[in-house]
Amino acid sequence: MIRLRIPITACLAAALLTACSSSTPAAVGGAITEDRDATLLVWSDPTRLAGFEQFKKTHPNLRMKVETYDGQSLLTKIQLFNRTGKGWPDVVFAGQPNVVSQFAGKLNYAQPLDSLIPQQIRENFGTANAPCEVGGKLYCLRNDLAQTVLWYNKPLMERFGYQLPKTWTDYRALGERVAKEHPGYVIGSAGSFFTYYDYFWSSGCPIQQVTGPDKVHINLKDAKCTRVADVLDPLIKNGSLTKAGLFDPEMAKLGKEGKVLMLPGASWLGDYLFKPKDLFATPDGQIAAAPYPSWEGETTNWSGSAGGGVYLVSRHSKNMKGAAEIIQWMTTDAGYQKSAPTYPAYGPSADAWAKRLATDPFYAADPFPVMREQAAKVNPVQQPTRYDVEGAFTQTVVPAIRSGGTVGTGLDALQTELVNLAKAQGYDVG
Amino acid sequence: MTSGRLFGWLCVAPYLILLVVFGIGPILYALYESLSDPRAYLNATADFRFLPAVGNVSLFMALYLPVMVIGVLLLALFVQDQRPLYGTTLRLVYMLPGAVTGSASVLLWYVMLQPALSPFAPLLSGMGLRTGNDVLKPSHLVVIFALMAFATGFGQWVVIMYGALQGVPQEVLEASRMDGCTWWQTALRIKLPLISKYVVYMVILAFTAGLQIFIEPQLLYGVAFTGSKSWSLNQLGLLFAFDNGDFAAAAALCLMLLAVCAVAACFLVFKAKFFETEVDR
Repeated sequence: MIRLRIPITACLAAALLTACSSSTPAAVGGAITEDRDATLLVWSDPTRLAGFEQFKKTHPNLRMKVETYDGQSLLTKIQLFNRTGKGWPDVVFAGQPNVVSQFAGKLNYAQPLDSLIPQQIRENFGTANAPCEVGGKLYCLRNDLAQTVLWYNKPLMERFGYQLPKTWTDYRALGERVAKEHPGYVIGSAGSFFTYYDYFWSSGCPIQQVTGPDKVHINLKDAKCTRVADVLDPLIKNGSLTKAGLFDPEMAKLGKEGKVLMLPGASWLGDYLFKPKDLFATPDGQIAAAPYPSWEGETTNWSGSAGGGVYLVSRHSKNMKGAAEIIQWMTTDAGYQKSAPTYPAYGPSADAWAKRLATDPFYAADPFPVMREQAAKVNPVQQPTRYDVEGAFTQTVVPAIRSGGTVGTGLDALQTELVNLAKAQGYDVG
Repeated sequence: MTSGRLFGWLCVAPYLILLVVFGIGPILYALYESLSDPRAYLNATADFRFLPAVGNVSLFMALYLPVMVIGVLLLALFVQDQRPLYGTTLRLVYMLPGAVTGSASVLLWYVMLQPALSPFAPLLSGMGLRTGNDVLKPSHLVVIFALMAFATGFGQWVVIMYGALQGVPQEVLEASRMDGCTWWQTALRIKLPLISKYVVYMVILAFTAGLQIFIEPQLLYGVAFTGSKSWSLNQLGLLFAFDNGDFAAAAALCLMLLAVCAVAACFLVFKAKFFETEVDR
C-alpha cells in the first residue's frame, strides 16, 4: 500500500526540488567558452560508454567525468536543472534525435555547434545532421543513422520464386500472393508504432512537418497518408502483415520459425532483431537488404528513419571547445567508429564500418551498399517536434490494427490526438 | 507540561518530523507553485488528457475497491475458520503475491499475460485470448490493473483483518451460536460490526492508493506499448511537469488528488466515528 503512495509524494517532492529558482536561467550570452581546467561532465548510454572512456584515455589534457544515465529521464533531468540553475551535463548522448526540438528551443540547453565543428567535418555528414538543424543552426552531431531498408530472406524468396518489390504497389501484390500461396509467412509487421517510421515516414505523410518556428503541418487526410493505409489494410486483413508489434513475443516466434519472408525496417534490424539468439535467431547466410520500394508517383525511393542517436553540447558548459572536441571524436574517429554497433552517421566513419558487415557470415549478401544508398534518401518531410508521435500511434492506429480494425479508420483519431498533443506543446497547427 | 505529555510528544516526534519534511512541506510548496500561474487549475482540468484519465481511474477504483474490500474480508473469515487445520499455511500463501511488488510485479504480470510466454497460456486461450494483443487490449487494462493491485495488496490486509477477527470475544461468538446464528449471520451481524474500524482504515488506504495508481500503467506502457503515458492522473501530472514544462499545472493536479483523498478520508473517519473510544461512548 505504502509503495503506491510514493508517486504523489514524489510528484510533490519533485516540485520542492525545483523551489530554488522559479525562472529559467538566462542563456549564457552565446560566447564560446574554453576553460581547460573545468571538468566536463559527460552523460552516456551504456553502449557509448566504451567510446567515451577510450577518448578519456587518449586525451589526458581534457578533464572529464563520464556517467551513464537513464535515457527515459533526460527531459526530466534537464527541466529540473533549468529550475535549479545548475547541474547540467556538458555533453549528452541522446538515443532519439527528437530531443533536439526541446533542447534547442524552449529548454534552451543545446549550444549551436556551427563555430565549434569545422566546416569540412560538417560537410562529410551529408544529410545525416538534418534533424540537428533548427532555424538554420546546427545543434547536435548525429552518431548513427536508422534509415529503413527492405530486409528479406534470400533463400526463401528464391525458393518461392518471388521478385523483390520495386514499388509499394508491387509490395502489396506480393503480400496478396504470399497470403494465397504460402499462408503463415509474413512480409512485415503493423502492430506497433514502428508503422510510423517504416511506412508513413517514407511516404512523406505530414505528421512532423515543421513549417516555421513553433508551427507544424499535420494532415492525415493527405493522399500521402491514405496511400499507406491502402497498401497496409488489405495485407493486414489477409495476414501477410502481422498484427504483432516488431518486438512482441509473437513476432519473435514468427522469426524463430523462419516465417518472416520480408521486413521493411531500420538498418539496425539485421544485427538487433534477426541476429540475436533470443529474438529471431536467423541462421547465417539468409538475410539480405534490398533498396526501399518507392511510393506511387515518387521519383525517389524514400526511406523512413527509426531512431539514430545524437550528441549535444550544453550552452552552460565552461569549456564548450573541449566538449565539442569530445563529440567530434566520438562521431568521426574511424578507429572507434569502425566497430560501432550501428550505421555511423559520419560518411568516412561509415566507410570504415562497412568492412565489419562485408565479412559478417550472418548476411546472405553485404547489406552495406543498400544502407549507404538509403542513408541519403531519408524523407526530409519529418523533422524533430516536441510532441510524442510514438505515443499518438500507440493510442490510436496501433490498437485499431491489433483489434482487427483498419489503419484507415485509425487515421481520424490519430489526427485529433496529434493536433491536441502539438497544441499542448505550444505549436500553431496548420 | 507534565512528563507524561512530554513523553507522548517524544514518541510521535519521528513521525511528525517526517510528516513535515516529506508531507506538509511539499504540499505547501505545491500550493505555492500552483498559485504561481493563475490559470494552473484551469490548464490542468481543461487539458484534453484530463477527462480520459479521470474516466480510467474512476473505472479502476469502481472495480478495485469492492473487489479488495469484499475479497479481503471473505478470505480473512475463511482463514479464521480454517485456523485449527491450515490457517497458518493459508496466511503465508496469501502473503506471497504481496512479496513481489512494484515494477517487479508488473513485469511478472506481463509474462503471465503473454500467451507466447505464459504458463497459463491454455487458460488464456480458453478465454479466447490467443495473442498478447488480445490480452493487453486498452479496454482490458482496467481489469488487469485491478487484478495486479489486488494480488499485491490483499495478503497483508488478510493478515490484519485476521488479527482483528481474533479480537472478537469468544463468549460473544458462543452466545451467538447458542442463539442459532448461521455462519453468514455471525459474520455479518457479529464479527463485521466489531471490526468495522479496521475495515474503514483499509478502505481509506486502498482508496488513496487506487487514486494514485502510477507504476502499473507507466511500466506496462513502456514494456507492451498499450494504454498511454497519460492513462492515470498521476502519469498526467508527470507529463505536465516534464514534457510540457508546466510545473504549475502539475502541482495543481497533485493538490486536486490530495483534496479528493483528504475529503474521502475525513468522510469515512467521521462517519465511522473512527477515533471514538469506549470511554467516549
